[in-house]
Amino acid sequence: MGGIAGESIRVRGVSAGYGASDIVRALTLEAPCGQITAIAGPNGAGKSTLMKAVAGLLPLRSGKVLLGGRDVSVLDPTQRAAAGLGYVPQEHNVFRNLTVAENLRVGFEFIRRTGRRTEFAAARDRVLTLFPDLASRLRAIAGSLSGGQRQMLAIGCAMMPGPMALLLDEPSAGLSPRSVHDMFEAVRKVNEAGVTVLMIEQNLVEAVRICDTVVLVVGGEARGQWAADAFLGDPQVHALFLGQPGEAGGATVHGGGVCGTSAA
Amino acid sequence: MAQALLNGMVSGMLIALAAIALSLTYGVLNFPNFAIGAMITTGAYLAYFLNAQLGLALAVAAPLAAIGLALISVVVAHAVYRPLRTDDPIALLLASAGVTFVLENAVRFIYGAEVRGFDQPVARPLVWQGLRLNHEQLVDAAVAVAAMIAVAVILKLTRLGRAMRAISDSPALAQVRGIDKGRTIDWTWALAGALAALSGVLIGLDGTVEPLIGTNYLITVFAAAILGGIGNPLGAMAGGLVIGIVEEFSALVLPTTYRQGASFVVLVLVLFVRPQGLAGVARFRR
Repeated sequence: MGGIAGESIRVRGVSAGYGASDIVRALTLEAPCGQITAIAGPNGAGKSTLMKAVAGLLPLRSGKVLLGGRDVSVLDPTQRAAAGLGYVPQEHNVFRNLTVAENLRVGFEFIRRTGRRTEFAAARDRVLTLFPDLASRLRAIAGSLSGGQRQMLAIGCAMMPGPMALLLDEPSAGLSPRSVHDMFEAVRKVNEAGVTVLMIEQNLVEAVRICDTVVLVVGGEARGQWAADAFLGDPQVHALFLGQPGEAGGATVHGGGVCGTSAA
Repeated sequence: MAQALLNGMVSGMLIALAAIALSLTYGVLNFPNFAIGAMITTGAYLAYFLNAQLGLALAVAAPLAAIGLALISVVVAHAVYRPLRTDDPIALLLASAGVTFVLENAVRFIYGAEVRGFDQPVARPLVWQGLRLNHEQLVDAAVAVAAMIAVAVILKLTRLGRAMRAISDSPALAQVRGIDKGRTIDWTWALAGALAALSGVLIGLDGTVEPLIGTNYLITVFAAAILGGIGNPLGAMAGGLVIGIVEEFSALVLPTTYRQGASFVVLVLVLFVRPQGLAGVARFRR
């Protein structure tokens, strides 16, 4: 593997939202180059809105998004993808009526419009090495895949153009515990290949095993940043997460129970 | 019986072409294009103009009419549907009803209401084992099959086809994947226009050319597209064939005025058992 040069994602003072109100407010965070950064926070904190804004699907009302040193704020979603910023939405992240092979192809051919056949084949081989489960199901209709396989396909499609950084919107949502484990292993492999990962995660007990850093977002604002292994043990996190005074020694704060229930 | 099956298959293929056009636009744009009937009529008259008035052979006039209606469809899309800037299917449906009035009355204004026919030599029907197949039916079937194969190849094997199916599946994800929606929609209209024109030429060849030929087929075409699983162009092929055969068989036992009624009974029965349509098996709706 290897061969991919990761780039950091820097979000600087970003505000975004729908209608009159800002859901994300002057938010700043960084996903350092080559690391996995998780965004945690209660439902309705604006995590998915932030992801859409970073991916370019929602206009920024203020602030900037930088990929490496490059300001990608002015680019549309396609251009951001071509610049190396991949995005995996939480729902509807594969074309269910297309086959697995067609999904991978569509993941490549519109973003890398001038890509050659050999480049496509190389990208596909790379993705199938990362996700061997998909290799035997290339002709299957994507809608017939299990939840776990579908999520792998979604990540695989985002990997096809050869991104330097990947945005994952709650990749474990709705998966069985075993699939959650496999999915995080897949994210780890993607990251080991050199890709910077910024992901929303509710399933924090599992997520902290592979993450380097956790950023807590509450009420559309970043409330702090922790090393992954310190995050769950910090009483301050509990207080912020639950919006109430921390319960002493509360090892009960984890996202497992809310898995798959958050609003998109 | 066998004769009715044969006739039904041929007329089913004519319906299928228009039903594919309807399904294509429904899938990509997510609204039922009411103007499909008027597009059939316009296509038939374009070919009539080129064939009977300019003296071109029908084999030349038909493809030119297809190209002509493809262009007209794209122009209409830019002039009518796009400026509405809406995804609301009802608004677009009403707009397409408006397009129907304009196209149909333009045809009537130029050609009046009289019944016309293509300038085509009369040939003896082919007879084999007591089955009669006239020359026009043979041409109809050959052209329809070729057009269906072309559509299947475009949808399954080309970048444009994958873009159409991707937008039909999930417009939001298609945007993430970098698919140019505007261009894909233009090509969808062009393809739908070409198919509607061919369908109009073949229907006119089978019978006569008059301002209501498309409208007469409107309900049948919708039934075929729904039967196939609307939005699924390949299903529309099957739907067209079934409707054509049912209508032909119904004429054996019922007065021909009940033809459409018979196809609707079948449509209702099929939808009771398979609400997703005949080809709905592999379809996942958003």
